[in-house]
Amino acid sequence: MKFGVTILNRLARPLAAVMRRRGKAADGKAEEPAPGGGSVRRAETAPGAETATGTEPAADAATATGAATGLATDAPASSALQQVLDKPVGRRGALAFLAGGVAAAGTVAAAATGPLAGPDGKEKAQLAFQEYFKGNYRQMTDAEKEATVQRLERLSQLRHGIKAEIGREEAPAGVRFGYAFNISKCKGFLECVKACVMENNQDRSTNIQYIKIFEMNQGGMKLEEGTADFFHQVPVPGKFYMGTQCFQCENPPCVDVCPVGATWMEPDGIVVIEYDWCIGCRYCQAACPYWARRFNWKAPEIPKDQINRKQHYLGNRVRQKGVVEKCTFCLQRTRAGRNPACVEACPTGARVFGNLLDPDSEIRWVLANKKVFRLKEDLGTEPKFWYYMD
Amino acid sequence: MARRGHPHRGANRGPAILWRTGAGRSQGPSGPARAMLSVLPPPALLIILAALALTGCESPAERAHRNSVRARIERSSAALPSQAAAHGLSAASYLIGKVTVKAQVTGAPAFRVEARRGSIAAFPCVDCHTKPVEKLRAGQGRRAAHWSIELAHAPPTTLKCATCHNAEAGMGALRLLDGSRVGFDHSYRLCGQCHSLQARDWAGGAHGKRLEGWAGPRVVRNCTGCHNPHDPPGPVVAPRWPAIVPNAPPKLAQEGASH
Repeated sequence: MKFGVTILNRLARPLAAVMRRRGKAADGKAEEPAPGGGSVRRAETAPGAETATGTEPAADAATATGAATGLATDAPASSALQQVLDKPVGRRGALAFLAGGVAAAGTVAAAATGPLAGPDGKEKAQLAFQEYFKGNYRQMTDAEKEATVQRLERLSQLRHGIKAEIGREEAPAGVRFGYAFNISKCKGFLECVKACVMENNQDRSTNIQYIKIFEMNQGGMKLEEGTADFFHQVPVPGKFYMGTQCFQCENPPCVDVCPVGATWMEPDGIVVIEYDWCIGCRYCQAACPYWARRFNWKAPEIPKDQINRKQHYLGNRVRQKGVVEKCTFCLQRTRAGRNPACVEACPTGARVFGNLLDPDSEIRWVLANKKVFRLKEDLGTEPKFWYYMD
Repeated sequence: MARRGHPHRGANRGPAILWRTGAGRSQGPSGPARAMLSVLPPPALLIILAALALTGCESPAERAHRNSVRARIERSSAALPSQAAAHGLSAASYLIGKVTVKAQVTGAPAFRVEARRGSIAAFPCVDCHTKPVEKLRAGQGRRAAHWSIELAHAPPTTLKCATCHNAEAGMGALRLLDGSRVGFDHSYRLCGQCHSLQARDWAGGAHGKRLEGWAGPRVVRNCTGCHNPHDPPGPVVAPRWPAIVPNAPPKLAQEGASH
């Protein structure tokens, strides 16, 4: 206490000098090598840093509290400052005052706007807290997986009013999914694009679409000259149409570069993303040679009546801001034996899907009997998406 | 080669000795060579070396082929038992309510085809076709059912109504080129007579539309399920405007689309 008073008195003149000279570092005037004195000396030279006297920050705390509570801060600020300066306070007292002020301000702000607002606030905050600290999906036990799915379903109900069914079906045994695309049959109708968006709960406001259909000039294969944002009557004579999406590479570069292990290839060959583990660095987006990955620059907005309730934890559940997403071959459908939405929607039958490990499957027949090729073969990514023509 | 002697030690000491043996060079090779020779007689060793030289190592191209996706796929699938038993999935529940027939094709694994007879408005045809067509045409003067059909399939020397429609069967069936009867549900046999490449692709899976699900029973659309036989290639590939995603903003340049 006595040291605090001494320091205050000794600092009054230098502090004023500091304020006059606007930032010139004043030499420490406190002779005693007390801990308080040492830290005060350091604080003087660091503008805006913590101090032991609590003069400036106390003013900040006072104005912050005033702003948070909506009180006028001009006249009371100086008198509050005066009161604080007059009151003899030591280092510990000053710190306690600071902490109390900031906590009060924070509590008021959080109560007004944060998750605790509203009747479900407490439950939402609790679920969000548990979700934040869960581990990577691959390391969870079955009970933990079930628990996180329950929490996510409940959060979907609380946050969006949507009763979601989030499945977590494992990869079926003896299955490796493969895809073939007939560039003679595609006419650019874009039914696949629409069906994909309706199935997979992408953000509408930034128009996230996993599938890109390129309108290409006939006579060559120049993807750089193809346009994916056409909107006119199709097919245009002299053009052909080629669709891309995630090719679920056997040797995926996106999986190799993820710094946190948020994306991996499942046993059925689908490359999946754990959205709650993704940190949004977009390294995978840079690594993908086929531009397959999409990033949520903002929180996704989906009209409530268009949210697909049948979701999968690794597939089409509603994502959050700041995570990467991509085509997953509709694993919420394909792990139940159905076709992806794009395959089902294509009116011309240009898309073929199936199990590569089944020698009687349509995809195996196409690979054996049609002239097939893949994009960027020389990169060694081994995509499981082949193109063929009539 | 002769080793130069130490300048201070006088003249050179003669040729360098390549290896030393305890008992001198008359005893033969030492070390590992001796151990191997003690196990194998020299002719066997020569045979082994010759075999290695002739077979050679795997070239990079061969290794790439062995490790190619297709080769690995075929190896994995060869090791597996029956596919359906392995994954146990089926899309049969999504096909309930669809009328299907067993496909009459040879050389392909069994599959089913969506039936078409139920989609024909005026079926059975013998309800009207009680007399030969010429007599019907010359008859009471009332307008008959489908004279508005325009045949735009092939030149008239190639194709007429009677080419495909079977008058002998009372118009209730189709006819193949040799006159044999084929039902409407199996019209693919008729179309495949001229469109054999498409028929082959269709049976294999590269052409046409599969209903519901990679797993479970394979059910595909009939030819006439997508194509109008009187005016092919029919409605599915007719020019139109692309589908629009509802509630999306007007078509913007997407991420990466401009590059």
